[in-house]
Amino acid sequence: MRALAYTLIYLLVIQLVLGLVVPVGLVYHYRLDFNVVKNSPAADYDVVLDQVGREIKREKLTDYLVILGDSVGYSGPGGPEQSLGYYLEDISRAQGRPMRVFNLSMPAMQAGDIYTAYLKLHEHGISTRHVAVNFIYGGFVARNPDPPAATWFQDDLRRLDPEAYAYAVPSLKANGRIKPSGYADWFRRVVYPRVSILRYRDFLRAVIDRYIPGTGPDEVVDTRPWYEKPGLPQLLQAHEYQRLFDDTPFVMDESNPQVYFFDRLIARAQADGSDLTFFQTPDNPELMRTNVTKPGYAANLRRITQYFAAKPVRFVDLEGQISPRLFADHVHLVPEGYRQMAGLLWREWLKDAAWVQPGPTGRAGRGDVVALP
Amino acid sequence: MLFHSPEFLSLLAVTVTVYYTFPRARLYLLALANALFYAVAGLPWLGLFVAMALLTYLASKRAQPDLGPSARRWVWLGVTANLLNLGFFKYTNFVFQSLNRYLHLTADSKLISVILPIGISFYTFQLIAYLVDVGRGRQRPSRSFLEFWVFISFFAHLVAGPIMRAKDFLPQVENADQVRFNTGEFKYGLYLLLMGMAKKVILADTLAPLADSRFAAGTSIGALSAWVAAYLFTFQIYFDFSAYSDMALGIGHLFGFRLTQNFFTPYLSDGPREFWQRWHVTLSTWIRDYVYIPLGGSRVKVPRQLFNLILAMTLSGLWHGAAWTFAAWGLYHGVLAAVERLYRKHVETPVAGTGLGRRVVTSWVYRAASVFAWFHLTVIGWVFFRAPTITQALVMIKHMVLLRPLGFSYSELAMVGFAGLLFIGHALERVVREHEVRVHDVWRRLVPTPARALFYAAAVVLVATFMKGKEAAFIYFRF
Repeated sequence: MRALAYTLIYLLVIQLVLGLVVPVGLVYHYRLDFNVVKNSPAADYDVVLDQVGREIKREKLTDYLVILGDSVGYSGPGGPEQSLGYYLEDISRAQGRPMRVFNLSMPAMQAGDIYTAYLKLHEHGISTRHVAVNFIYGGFVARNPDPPAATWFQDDLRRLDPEAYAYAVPSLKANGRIKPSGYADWFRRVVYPRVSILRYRDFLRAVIDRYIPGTGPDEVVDTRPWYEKPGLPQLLQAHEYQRLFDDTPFVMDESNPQVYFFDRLIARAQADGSDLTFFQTPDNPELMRTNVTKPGYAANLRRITQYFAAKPVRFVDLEGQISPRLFADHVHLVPEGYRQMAGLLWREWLKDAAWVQPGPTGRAGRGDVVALP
Repeated sequence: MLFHSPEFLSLLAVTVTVYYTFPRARLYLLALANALFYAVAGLPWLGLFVAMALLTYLASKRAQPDLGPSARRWVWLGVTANLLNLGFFKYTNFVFQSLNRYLHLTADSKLISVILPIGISFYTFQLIAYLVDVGRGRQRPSRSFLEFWVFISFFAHLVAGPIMRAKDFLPQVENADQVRFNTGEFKYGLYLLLMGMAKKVILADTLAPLADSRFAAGTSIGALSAWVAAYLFTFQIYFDFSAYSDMALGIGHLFGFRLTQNFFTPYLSDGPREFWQRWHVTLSTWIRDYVYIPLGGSRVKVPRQLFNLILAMTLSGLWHGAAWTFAAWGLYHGVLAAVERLYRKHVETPVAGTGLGRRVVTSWVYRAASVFAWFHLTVIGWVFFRAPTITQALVMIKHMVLLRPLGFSYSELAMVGFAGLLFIGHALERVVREHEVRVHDVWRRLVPTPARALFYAAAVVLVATFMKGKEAAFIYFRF
């Protein structure tokens, strides 16, 4: 039994030090790695936030930008060094005003997830001084019932804002996101995050997988532009894609989950004194020409603009700002597209005096709508 | 709830603690734990299981041969009810899909969406074996339903075996309150549990995607890839199933119970007879005792023996799953077993009668060649088991046998080498298992305690790391 006692001691040591010795690069490298976190997105997202918070503390960072968003913010389909965060850091360095960027976007994040992710930042010691949120036109389209108001962080939303969770429940139920939970679910939710080996296992496994042929990421990185992908136009005729371009007039009140959660996020950011930027990432104007040339589509774009004009936030409309040649599909970009997006965003931020010099100030644009040339 | 999930292990720890703390309440505790464990699959399925167990228990009370001629009827009633239960839940879909496909009928879609209750194949076989043994006078009926329930539903063997016989396990259950905590037994249980988990999450679950991706190539697969796919699945299913058995045995030891070992490094067998004494032993002996022998066993003429052998093996294949591929797998093994029987009788035995022949037949070269040949015949058999359709299986096997189209690539050749390493590992496993006491003694003597503990801690970390976010179920849970 002495061996058992020693084993328990070793395991206790691992429990205490694992989180401290795991290099940040293992869990975050210009963005999280969705291939790694997709099996337990909510739990692994917390690990990413933990490590990012630890890096911020270790490097005593005070002036940095947090990006929250969906797969476009995440910068799919390219790799981490072809992503928005990477390019923003690169451009900011080149322009003599280096800024750390923490891109915490994750594919399929809905407005409810983005709001919850914002609330979680404080829990992990991450400042919300500069926060940028990406969204696409399709985010405002009425849900039927897909997608849910929150894809990943329902449990955190329930914990952090019960009222908002109550609002999301019908959408979550309609999408089968609320299931009867038993002991196993409770165990995973409550115990896993407190046991270091279980908490970090997806990330440790990713390291091991690099050395096992055939078990690595199953997502093939295909950064070819859309016009080199045969069959893509036909694929995009499917309802799940077409609904993203629905030209039915948007309902811009709080019955729309996108509006509800953005309103809540804006209110919370205002209370925090955050410099909050929303940027609308563009739709591919050539590939989706039939959709984006509809009068209803243009009218909806105006509704979005009017919505943000009335809010105390900075709104950057990137619609039509990126060459159609730089799209990978209907909404995602090739690496050069993300570089251009980073350049456009950076240029807009530098128009704000609060961004030019690093410092503790910096409020939102208070209703400024940035019109790009 | 899977054995290799932390949530199961936490419940196991609680159950073991309560088990040794309150010896008089052990049967009630185990009865409850078994019911809870099975209830995770769904309360209706638990109800069905309890109903079948109760029916079998009551039938067994009237099935003793000394109760007169009606006893036999109770055996038949209980066996028929269990077979109907298994048949309905396991084979309804298969029957209707086959009718639809081959007779172009249109069966009601509700009939072809029957869900298979987890572990039904295993508990049905246990219930039948118990009832038949009582009917034959080889087993006295259980004293109480509580003891019977714990015997039949003990969570370690419930969903994927071993298929326990009453004569082996019921007395242990009846004497559960006499079990004393034994450090050696407990440590051995932990060892088996950890080894089983390592086999499952590190080996089986790592091999699974490698095999899956190759089988997914369908009929366009080249010969080399087909061999690699078959090799990988051969080891995947062994690691997967034997892992479950190791864990089941380990859990048994934690409670002071001895469950029947199901696997004895089967790929080192020199033919079908030895293979089935080493692969899923409790199923093989069940088929022998309750199908093959009642059909006539070795008491009938040779052609009938061979027919019975093939029939029993085909039924064994169908027990694994309601699909023609499983039947083909069983048939294939049945034919091989029949051929072996003829070969041993008409070729090997006469040859061994001569001086030179005896030296050849008993030489290690002959043994090695037999193991090599039988291993590859087993590998080919697994293609039937794993391929989604008979057509794909036959095409793959054709490519494998003819080596055409070869589809050569160095990476696939390297995978053949990897399969060779797995085989060597399999052989090492036999050495370790056959000399466990000695290996354990050397391990304790030569390696200092802190170093041994470091190895155990590393194993725990590795197993935890390899666990998937959503644990992959065991292959045999489907059966």
